Amino acid sequence: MSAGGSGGGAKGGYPPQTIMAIGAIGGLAGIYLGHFMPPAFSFFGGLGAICAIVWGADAVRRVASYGLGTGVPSIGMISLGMGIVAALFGLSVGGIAGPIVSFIAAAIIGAVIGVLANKVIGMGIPIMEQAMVEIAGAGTLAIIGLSVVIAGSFNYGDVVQYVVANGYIALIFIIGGMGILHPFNANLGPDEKQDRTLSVAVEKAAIALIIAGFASSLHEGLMSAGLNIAVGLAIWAFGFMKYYGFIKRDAHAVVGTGLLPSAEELQ
Amino acid sequence: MCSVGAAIATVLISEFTLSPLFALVFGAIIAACVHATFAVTSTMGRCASQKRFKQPIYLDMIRSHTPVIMGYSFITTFCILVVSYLMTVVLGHPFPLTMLAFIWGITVGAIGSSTGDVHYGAEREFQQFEFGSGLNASNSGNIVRYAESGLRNGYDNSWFCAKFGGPVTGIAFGMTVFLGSWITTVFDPARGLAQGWYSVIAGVIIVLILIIWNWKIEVKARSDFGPYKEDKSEEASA
Amino acid sequence: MIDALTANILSMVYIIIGGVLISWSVHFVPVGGAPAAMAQATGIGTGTVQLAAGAGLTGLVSAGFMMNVTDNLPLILASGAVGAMIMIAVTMIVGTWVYVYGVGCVPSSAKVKVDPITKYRQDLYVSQGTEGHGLPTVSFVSGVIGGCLGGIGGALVYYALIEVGLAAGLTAGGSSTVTGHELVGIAAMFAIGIFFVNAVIPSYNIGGTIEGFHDPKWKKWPKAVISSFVATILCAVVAVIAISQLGGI
Repeated sequence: MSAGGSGGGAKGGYPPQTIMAIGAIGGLAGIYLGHFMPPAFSFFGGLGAICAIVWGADAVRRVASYGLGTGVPSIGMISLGMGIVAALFGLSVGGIAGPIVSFIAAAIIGAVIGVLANKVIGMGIPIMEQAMVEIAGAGTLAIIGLSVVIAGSFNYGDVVQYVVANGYIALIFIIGGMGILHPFNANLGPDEKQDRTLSVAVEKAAIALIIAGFASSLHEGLMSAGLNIAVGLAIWAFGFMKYYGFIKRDAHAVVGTGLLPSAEELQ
Repeated sequence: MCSVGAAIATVLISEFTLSPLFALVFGAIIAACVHATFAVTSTMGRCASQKRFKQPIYLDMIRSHTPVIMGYSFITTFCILVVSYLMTVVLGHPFPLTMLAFIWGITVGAIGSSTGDVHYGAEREFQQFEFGSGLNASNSGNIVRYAESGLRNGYDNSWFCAKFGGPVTGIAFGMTVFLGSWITTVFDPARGLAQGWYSVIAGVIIVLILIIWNWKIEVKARSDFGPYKEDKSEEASA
Repeated sequence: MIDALTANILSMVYIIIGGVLISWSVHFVPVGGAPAAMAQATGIGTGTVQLAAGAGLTGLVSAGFMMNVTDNLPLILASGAVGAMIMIAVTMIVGTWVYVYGVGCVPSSAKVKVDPITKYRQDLYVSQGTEGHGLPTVSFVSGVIGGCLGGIGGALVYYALIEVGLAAGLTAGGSSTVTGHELVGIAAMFAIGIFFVNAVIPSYNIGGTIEGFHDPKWKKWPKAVISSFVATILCAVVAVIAISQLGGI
C-alpha cells in the first residue's frame, strides 16, 4: 500500500491554521455545549466531533501526501489508538476540565511519537511532529465528542458506564478512525483537491453522528436520539451533495455509460 | 462496519427488547447502508483524483455495483454478528458484543485482503500467460480492455476473487474461529489448569501441521512449475 | 495519582514489556503490502498494521476468554500466543493455496539466495522483475513466531490492565449479556489502543514490507523497539491512572 503520493507537501485551499482553529476550538466548544445543555442537545458533541474529524482528515492529508510507506489507514489507526488512551485519561483525572486535559495529553503523546518517528526511525518527514500532535488531538476530540453524544455528558463515570462497558467505544474507535482516514484514502491521486477531501470528511463524520445518535437512544431516550439522527442526516445530505458537486467539477467526465476514451482523445 | 452493526443490534436488544435475530438482521442492514456510502465516495473520489488520465466516472457502474456491495456487506456483517453473539451469550466470553464484532471485523479484513484478493492483480490484467509460468513484471500494465463480450475493466477482475478468493477467505476465517474456539471447548480450562495446558498444546500441534502443509505445497509447486531462470553459476562451473 | 503509579509498578512493567513485544513481533510477520497482493513480492498481501492487529486481537480474544476462567499468568499468555499463531498460520496457508493453485507461482524470496530452513535455492524461482512471491517456509515460520510474540504481548497488556483494575477494587466476572462489563471493556479498549500504537511504529520502521527474520530490514528492529519502549511508557502511565480512577466511582 505504498501508493500514498510521491513526496512533496500537499497544496491548496484553506491554510492549515484555519482548519486547525476550526477543529480545536469548534471541537472543544461542541463538547462543552453538549455537556452542559440538557441531554436533548447532546448533538452539539457530535458537531464538535465533526469539526475534529475534519481537522484530523486535513492533517492526515498533509502528512500522508509525503508517502508513509504503509498506506493511509495506518495513520488513522494510530490517531485513534493515541486518542483513546488520552481521552479516557483526561476524563478520569480532569473533572470539568477533562477534554482539555485529554487534549494536552494527546498532544504530548503525539509529539513524542512524532519525534521518535523522525529521530529514531528516521522517516524524514518534515511536518511529522506537528502532524502527529494534530492527529492525536483530533482523534481525542472525536472520541470525546461522540462519547458525549452517547452518554450525554463527559463525566468519567457516565462515559465508562454508558460508552465503554457495553463496547460502544469500539464503535466510536472504528467510525471515528474511518472518518479521519477515509477521506484522503478515498481521494488519493495526483489530482486530489482539499475541499473535495474535506467534504468527504464532513459526510463521514455525519454518519458517525447518526450511528452514535442511534446508540444514544439506550440511555437518553428516543426523543434526543431522534434529534441526533435528524441532525446527522441533514449534515450527511448536505455533505454528500457538496461532495457530488465537487466530483462533477473535478472529474474528467461523469457519464451514465459509454466507451473508454479512444487513443486520439487521450493525446 | 461489523462494529456498527453490532452496536445497533445491541441497542435493539437492550432498548426495545427485540428478538436477537431481528436485531442482528437490522444491524447488518444499517451497516450495509453505511458500507455503501464508503464504497461510493471512494470510487468516485479516486476516479476524480486521477483526472489527468481522463477516465470517466461511469454512473451505471456505481448503480449496478453498489447494491451488490451492500449485499455482500450484509452477509459478512450478519455472519460476524452471529459468531460474536454466540461467543458472548453461549460461550460466555467476557468482551461485550460490540467489541468482539470489532475485533472479528479487523481480523476478517486482514484475512480477506491477504488471501481473497491476492489474485486481483494477477488475473486478467495480464494477458495470456501460461498457468504456473510465474508473473513476469513486464506483463504488468498490459491491461485487458475488451472482454469476450463488451467492455472489460478493473471492476470485472473481481470475478476471480468472487469465485475462488471469496470462498477461501471464508474457509480461512472459519478455520480461525473454529480452531481458536475448538481447542478451549474440547479442553475446557475451567476444569483445571492441566486442561488449559492441553488446549495450548493442541493449538501448537495445529500450527505445526499447518507449517508442514505449507512446506509440502511449496515442494510440489517447485517440482511442478520448475525454475524460471537458468542457473548461471552451474553453467559457469560446468 | 502518584500512589496509583507506585502501587502498580509491576503492572506497568508488564504493559511496557507487552508493548515492546508487540513492536518486535511486527518485524517477524511477513507482509508484502500491495505488491504482494499482486503476487510481485514475498509475503502476505496486506498492510502491516491490519495483519498484526488481526493476529494480535485474535490472541486478545483467546486470552480474554482464558482470563475469564483462570488467573494463571503463563496459561493466559500461552493461550493468547496460540490464538494469534492459529490466526496467522491459517491466513498464510490459505494465502499459499491462492498463490500456488490460483495464481500459479512458486513460493520464493528474492532477498536471500537459499532458504535458511529448507536450504532450497530461492533465486531461480523468482519471476523476472519481481521481488519474489508467495510464502516460502522461512517466511511461514517467521510469521508464526511473530504471531506468537504479538499474542503474548497483547495478552500481557490486557492481563496487567485487569490486575490494575482488580487492585482498585473492581470485579472482572464474565457476564452472559450483550452489554458487557466495565472493567473488561475499558481494559480491552486500552489494550487495543496500545496495540495499534505499537503496531504502527514498527511498520513505519520497516517501510511497510518485510519478509521475515531473514530479511536484511529485520536488523533494524532495535530502532522500533526503542521507540515503542518510550511510547509505551507514556501509554502505560496514562492507562494505569485512568483505570485506578475507576475504583473511586
